[in-house]
Amino acid sequence: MHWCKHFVHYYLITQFVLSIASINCLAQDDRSVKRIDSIIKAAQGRALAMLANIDTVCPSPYWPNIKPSLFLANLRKNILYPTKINQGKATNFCGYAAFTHILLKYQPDTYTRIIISFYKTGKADLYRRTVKPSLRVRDAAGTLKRKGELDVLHADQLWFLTMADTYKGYLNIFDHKYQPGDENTFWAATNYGKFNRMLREFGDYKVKKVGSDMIRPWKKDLFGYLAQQLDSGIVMMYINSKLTHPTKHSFFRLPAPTHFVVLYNLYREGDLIQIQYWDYGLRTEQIITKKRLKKMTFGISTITKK
Amino acid sequence: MRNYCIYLLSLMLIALIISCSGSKKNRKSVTYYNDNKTAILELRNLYDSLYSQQPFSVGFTDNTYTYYVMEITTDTVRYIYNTEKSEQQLYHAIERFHYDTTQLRKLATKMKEIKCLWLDKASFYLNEIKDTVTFLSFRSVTIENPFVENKYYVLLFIRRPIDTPLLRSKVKKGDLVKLDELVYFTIGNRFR
Repeated sequence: MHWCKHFVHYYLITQFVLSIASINCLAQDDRSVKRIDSIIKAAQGRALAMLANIDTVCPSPYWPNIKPSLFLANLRKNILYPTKINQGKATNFCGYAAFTHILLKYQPDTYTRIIISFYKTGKADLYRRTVKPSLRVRDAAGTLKRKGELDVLHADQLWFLTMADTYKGYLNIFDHKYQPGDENTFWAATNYGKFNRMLREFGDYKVKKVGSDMIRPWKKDLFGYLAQQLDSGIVMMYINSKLTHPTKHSFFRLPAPTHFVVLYNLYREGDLIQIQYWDYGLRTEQIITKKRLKKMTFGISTITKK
Repeated sequence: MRNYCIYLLSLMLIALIISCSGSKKNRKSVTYYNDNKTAILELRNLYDSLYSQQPFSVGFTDNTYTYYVMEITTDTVRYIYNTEKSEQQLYHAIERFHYDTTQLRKLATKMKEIKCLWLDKASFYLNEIKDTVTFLSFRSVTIENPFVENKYYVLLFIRRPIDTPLLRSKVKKGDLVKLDELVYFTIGNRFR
């Protein structure tokens, strides 16, 4: 049985290396784009095949409040529409949602394997460690209310609560144990270091990072740097979300990062910049100034390859 | 002893002023709603009609109600444009999504008239059934007191009467104030 587990790991890692390598090195021509699409489609197919083998009626003994029908519908939706995943209303799950979007987009089979393992056995083997969510979060998953669509997305509740329970940073130091309602408190907050650690451990990605929780990245030409990073891999940004929706209603705005997004594209339009990024379950397009881009950006993480 | 009494009286006076200002804040939404009831109804009808064409939210980015911002949402993309930095792109988007420009202009004028900061819809779930609520936010109290965290008044319009234990407890606690069967208001630190 042990050799079987190793074989599965080896197979998944090989697939991952292939997909990332393809994305990085061959994304220049149409043939490569088609190849990437076919690799991702194949991974989606494997993920859906895993779903087909799950008992759709009996609830999991580890997750008493997760409804199998809602769990499976959510899982299917996540595999088929990886962009749609979002953190729900009034939660601090944005970091986990941004990272899961990447995992779903490029490794839907890995995501499905891990979440099914959580559901069936109450724990899962990642690339570098075994994760076992606490009883508190296992009881809480499926009971979150007044979170918008997240109320009925039981797989997302399980996933986000498990990630928040597993990964801890200095922001969570005074609130380690989950209490009902903690999904929008410091218990669920993600600082930049924790976010990068999650990327490395959960997805086994190689991450290049600039910036921090307090000081913006020291880049003279931030637009040029971001464009360059987009050419070399997948770019995630740690930003102040209030600056993506600038208003003059407030006298004071805390100069600190609050949100994680995935950068898709960046274009110059005269003096302005058109930025395209994933945020809250949608591809988002807007025009901002160079100054605003600089002010809102606190961290840039680039996933290159394993 | 005399000084002590003066201090005590001053403290009581301050406490009285604070409590009065608090109750005044709570009344503001009721006054605003009653004063602008017809305009708000018209605004909501216009918004519902335009929203059915393509979902969007709209508001102002500044205190002088000069620049509009519009967020148009499709199944997969969210476009955020405003009249301050991306006016041309906003007009192109309006054209692309075939919005009725007369209605849109009326909506914009009406919003400015009643100083509405933001107009949006959000979904919520009751017994796993999806429903939507329309939000209308206005006036920030920070204009009155710069040292207070930003607070906005938000009117909520539901589509059918709701009676759940959670809603009742929220009303009891004062988190939500019922204005009529389908209208509530709350004070929040976000206007959108």
